[in-house]
Amino acid sequence: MTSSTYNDIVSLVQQKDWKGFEMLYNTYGQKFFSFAVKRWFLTEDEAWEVVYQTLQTLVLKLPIHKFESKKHFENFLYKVFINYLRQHYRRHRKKQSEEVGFTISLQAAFAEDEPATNDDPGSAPELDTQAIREYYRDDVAESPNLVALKCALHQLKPDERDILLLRAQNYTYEEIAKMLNIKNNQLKVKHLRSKKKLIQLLNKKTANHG
Amino acid sequence: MANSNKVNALAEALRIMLLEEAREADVDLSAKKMQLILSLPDDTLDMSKEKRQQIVDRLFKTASEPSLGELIRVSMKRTKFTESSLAKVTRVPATILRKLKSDSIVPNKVPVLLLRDILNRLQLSFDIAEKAVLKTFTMIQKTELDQLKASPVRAWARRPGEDKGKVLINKTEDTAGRELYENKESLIKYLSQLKHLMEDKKQ
Repeated sequence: MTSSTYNDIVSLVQQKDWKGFEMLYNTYGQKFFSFAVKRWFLTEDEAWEVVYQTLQTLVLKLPIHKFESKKHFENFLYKVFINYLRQHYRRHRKKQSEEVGFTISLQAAFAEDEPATNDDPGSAPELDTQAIREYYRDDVAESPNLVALKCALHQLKPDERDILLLRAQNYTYEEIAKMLNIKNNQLKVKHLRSKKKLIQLLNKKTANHG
Repeated sequence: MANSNKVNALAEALRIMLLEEAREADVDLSAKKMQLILSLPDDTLDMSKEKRQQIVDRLFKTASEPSLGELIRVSMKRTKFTESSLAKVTRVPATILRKLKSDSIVPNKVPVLLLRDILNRLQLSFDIAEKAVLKTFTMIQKTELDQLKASPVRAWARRPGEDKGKVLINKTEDTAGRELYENKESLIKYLSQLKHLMEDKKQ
């Protein structure tokens, strides 16, 4: 998006011009909607709520806050979007666990669009699946060893880390190849190796602390 | 979604980590992440035309309804009150009046009798004021909530092993740690008092 689009959106929304709201939706809302459905598995109704709440917060904020730049504007919008996405994602998973017999498995396929394979590098036994389920609830819960996971991730090479994080968000190998400028045919192997390395690091960490 | 009832624990933990980290990202990291969303492939999924229209309509409605500050500013012009003259007749401190005009104070933080006097002087009915008060409350609440949620010292900041690998995620209620007058329940009570006072005056 160019700076002039950003300036136009801010100015038109502040003037309560219909075009500004349409531009706001077309520039950000549509992308947020697609991201919430395709990457975070929300239903279309849930994603609609996330987009509406995000844009409504911005519309309410604009009259009383002057953004320094497009970067600050987008930083605000991104944070608000993530907050709502997080709330709805947790609610969505909680509902799934109550209604669908949803299970968190160490062996299930890593990404939603691929079957579990025999060449799976194994599991990370120290990941507390109960804690993941507790995370979906609103009351106080313990995180599923996220600090250990974060440390292990930071020991990977940047491209290994990127592949794992993008794959976890359901990006296809083709999309990841474009984003990271890597050949698609190397990606699946690279993904499996990165996953294996991450699991080894996690297991090593557990053994050391155990 | 394939196998929607079976989720890989590692992938799910990575997703949770991404969500938690994103909330604390600095401006540069947020910009990078935002670019990733905005540069989504061409096959971007969109909602139906009706749903899209519904969002645009609602956003327009949200923006079009006047806030309390806007309502006071417009009504001051109409009734030819200046800030000092209105402050004088209502005995509302000028600083409070200024904050009300700029929507930078939660309306129910202003003593209800004083707000009643302002509204009466500006010849505003309760029904009109009520909507404006609710809008200003939401505006301020949303702004503060974002700051509140973006700032807590969360699990990520802790050193690994500090608590044997398990950390407590700071799950505050949306209104936790906030002043009493800032919650919706107290606003509703405040509005009911205001309505009562304004109706009393009419009779």
